[in-house]
Amino acid sequence: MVSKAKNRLPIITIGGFLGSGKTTLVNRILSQANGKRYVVFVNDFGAINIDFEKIETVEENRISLKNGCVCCSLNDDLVAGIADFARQEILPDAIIIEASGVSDPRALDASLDMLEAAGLTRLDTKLYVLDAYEFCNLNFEDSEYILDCAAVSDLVLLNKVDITPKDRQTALTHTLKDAAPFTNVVSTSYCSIDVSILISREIDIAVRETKKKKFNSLKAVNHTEHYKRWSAETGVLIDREQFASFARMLPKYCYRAKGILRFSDAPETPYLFDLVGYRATIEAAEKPLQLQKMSSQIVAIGDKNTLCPEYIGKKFSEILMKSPTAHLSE
Amino acid sequence: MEILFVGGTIITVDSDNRFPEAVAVRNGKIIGVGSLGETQSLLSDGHQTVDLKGKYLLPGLIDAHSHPLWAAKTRGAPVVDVRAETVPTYQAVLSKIKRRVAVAEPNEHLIFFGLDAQLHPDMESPTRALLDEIAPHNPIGIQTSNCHALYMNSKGFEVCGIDENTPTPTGSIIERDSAGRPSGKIAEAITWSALETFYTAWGDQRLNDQFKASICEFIQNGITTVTEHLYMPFYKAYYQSALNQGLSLPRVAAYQQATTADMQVENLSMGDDRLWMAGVKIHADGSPLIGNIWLSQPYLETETTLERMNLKPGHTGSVNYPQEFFEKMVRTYFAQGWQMTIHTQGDRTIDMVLDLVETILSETPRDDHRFRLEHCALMREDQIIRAQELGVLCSFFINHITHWGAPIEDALFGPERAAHYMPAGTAVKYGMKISLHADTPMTDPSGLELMQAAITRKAGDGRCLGQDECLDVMTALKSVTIDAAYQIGMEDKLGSITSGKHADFVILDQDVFQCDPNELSKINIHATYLAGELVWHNGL
Repeated sequence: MVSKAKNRLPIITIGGFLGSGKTTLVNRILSQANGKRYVVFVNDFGAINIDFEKIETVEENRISLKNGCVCCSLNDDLVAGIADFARQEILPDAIIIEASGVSDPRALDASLDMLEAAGLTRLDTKLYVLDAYEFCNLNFEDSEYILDCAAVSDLVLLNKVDITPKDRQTALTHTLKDAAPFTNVVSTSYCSIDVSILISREIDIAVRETKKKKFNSLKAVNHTEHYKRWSAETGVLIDREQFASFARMLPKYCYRAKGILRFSDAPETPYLFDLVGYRATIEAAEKPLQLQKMSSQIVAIGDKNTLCPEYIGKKFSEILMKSPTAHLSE
Repeated sequence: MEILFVGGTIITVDSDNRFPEAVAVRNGKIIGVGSLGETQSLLSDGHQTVDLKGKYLLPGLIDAHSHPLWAAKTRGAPVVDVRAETVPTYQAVLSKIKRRVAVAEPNEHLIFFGLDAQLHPDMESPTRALLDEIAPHNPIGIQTSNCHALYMNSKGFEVCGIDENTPTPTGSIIERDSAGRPSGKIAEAITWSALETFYTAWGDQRLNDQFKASICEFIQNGITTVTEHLYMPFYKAYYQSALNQGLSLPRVAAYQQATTADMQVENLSMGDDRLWMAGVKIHADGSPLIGNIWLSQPYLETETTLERMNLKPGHTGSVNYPQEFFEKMVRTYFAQGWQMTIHTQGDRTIDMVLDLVETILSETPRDDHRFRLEHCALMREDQIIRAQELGVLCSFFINHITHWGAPIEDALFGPERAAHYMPAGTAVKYGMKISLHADTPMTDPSGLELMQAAITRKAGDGRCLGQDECLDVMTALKSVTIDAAYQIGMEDKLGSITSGKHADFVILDQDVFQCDPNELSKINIHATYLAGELVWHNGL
């Protein structure tokens, strides 16, 4: 059965021990929606901090906000609940699930796999909030459980660093580097993170805004004081293997990258590239892309201390030079 | 105690009576399968009725090769899980070990389970010297995820009583330095006896608790019959205690492990088909994931085989025992009338075993011997034909494909051998009654997962390993019910919903025949019945 060509609904999960700051992060996402329509599933309705004047409607298991976001309570019907949103005519920008601090994350994974297999959703990012201050007070089983969870996540928010002594932070950063070598870590207080890192649509927009140029245009953009952004656009058809080796290098420097690519072995097919942490997908676009139709565009965002736009730009130029010389026509 | 099951789809796995309306049960046995009128008339007025509410009633699932008690020993605290699923690199494994050692009591015995040359990309063999540096004061052991090998430090060797003067037991491996001193790695039977030292140090309370959890995992997955495929005589006490406590212990077919020809096979029989001695198990070779199997064609020469598994170029492996020694064991226990189950993975090993079976049968013919080959990773088509002619049965460790499919193809054996790895489809093509197994604790117990693996043959990364070997749904279902019952010699009592058999059932939320095969393992297990008793339900 071929499903109608449409985008699958991105899902972001937020894991973390009790008290690590998951709800704070949910509140932050809702308050930074900036016109995006997010649907969040949370454990504890009461903990969500919503101003009365921002509320549109309240139902038994659902609060709709005036900004278009919806807050739902997490219950047994999670799968059915998500499926409802995924079948809507106008999709929300993302589903965000606050995974319970105690339940088995594998059970949630199984539900999400099921939705993905049904062609309704795609797992976008697995976030894990880690309480840096509490960590060293936990026993071996609990702290190892947290590290195991971190290892299977895409991005860890090392939270509450404002109250955590520097030496403890350093030790924990080293432990995480050992235990979760394929996971990116970003230090936060009150989960103060730029939501655009978490939610890929933001990067889509960045791609769209990139000025169209005929040949390689590599430029760096300072996004905020914490993050750096690198983006490029090129009319050169990219060699697939060269790009794969470039993509393998990226996670060391950025949290997230996204792009639309034209490969030399299939110039007619635009491919969507999506990198979250160390997890990358490259798949043929499901529907014709109108924007920038004959060029490749790519954007990466990362910590200001690790993402060096000049270096990534240089590496990207190198793969273009190793790619076939035929350029796309306008 | 009488029950009528009605109101859903009843999948009997009995070709004489496919989709009846209702099932009648009395005192733990099925007494009628048919129309509502027929079955109801067999029961007295006070019978209980279970309304299936549109769900699916199937015979309880059977895992033909598992290790429930052994699983309890190897899983759960204080065993530290270092499988690649959550501890993705060898360096991460070492750092976890260091963190555990840092909080260890003096002399506390530590075991880490799950080191994996195929799945830990930077895997090296930890040496005794390295482990001494990490843990100078505690006996520690790191067991590979395939269970066949163990790496220990000096304290570990000391508590297990293995040193330069210890002769290597026949069938086992002790790697040694030039002076004969064990250098860190041991493999096969000596691994399992060394581990007993650790398990004993942790005490019985821990083991009993963990055994309860292990039993429960089978029952929750709808598995009502298992095997204890490495039974040792002292296991009896734990089983006895579980039954005395009234725990919902699945039925257990025990296969006692033989490592010599002079073992006394225990004549075991508990309850109404709850635990019995079914036969004798012998390891002819080891694990394809370690390299100690006997092959006609060598392993691929890759980073995984050469550097992480430490195999030499052109490695074709070998069998565990000298052939005469092995032959004597098989002859002895076969002559005593036991069903034999032989662990075989490499094709040359299988040649050796089939040669022996043929010789023994020509000298002392025996009908219905149900000689079993276990796992059968690299069995060839000609060997399947020969096995079928000899009446030899195969039980396939199909989860190898889901868990290690990608490295099996890319790093160990190449596409041709991968396409027929665990050749369940070929065996069925030649008419063999096969069974499938999870070999718990190597992989987690789930009959539906076995079916999914055999139907789709999809590796973790989504690739299919050999379309020709895929099973249809009905055959896959039979291989975890009636055909598995046949392989343990219980087809008259188990494996289908048939009058006269034990009332062991599983109730599923979805139809295995309608479900997308890629989703089979996700079907909810609604309830499990053992001997007519509800032993588990999901609360919905």
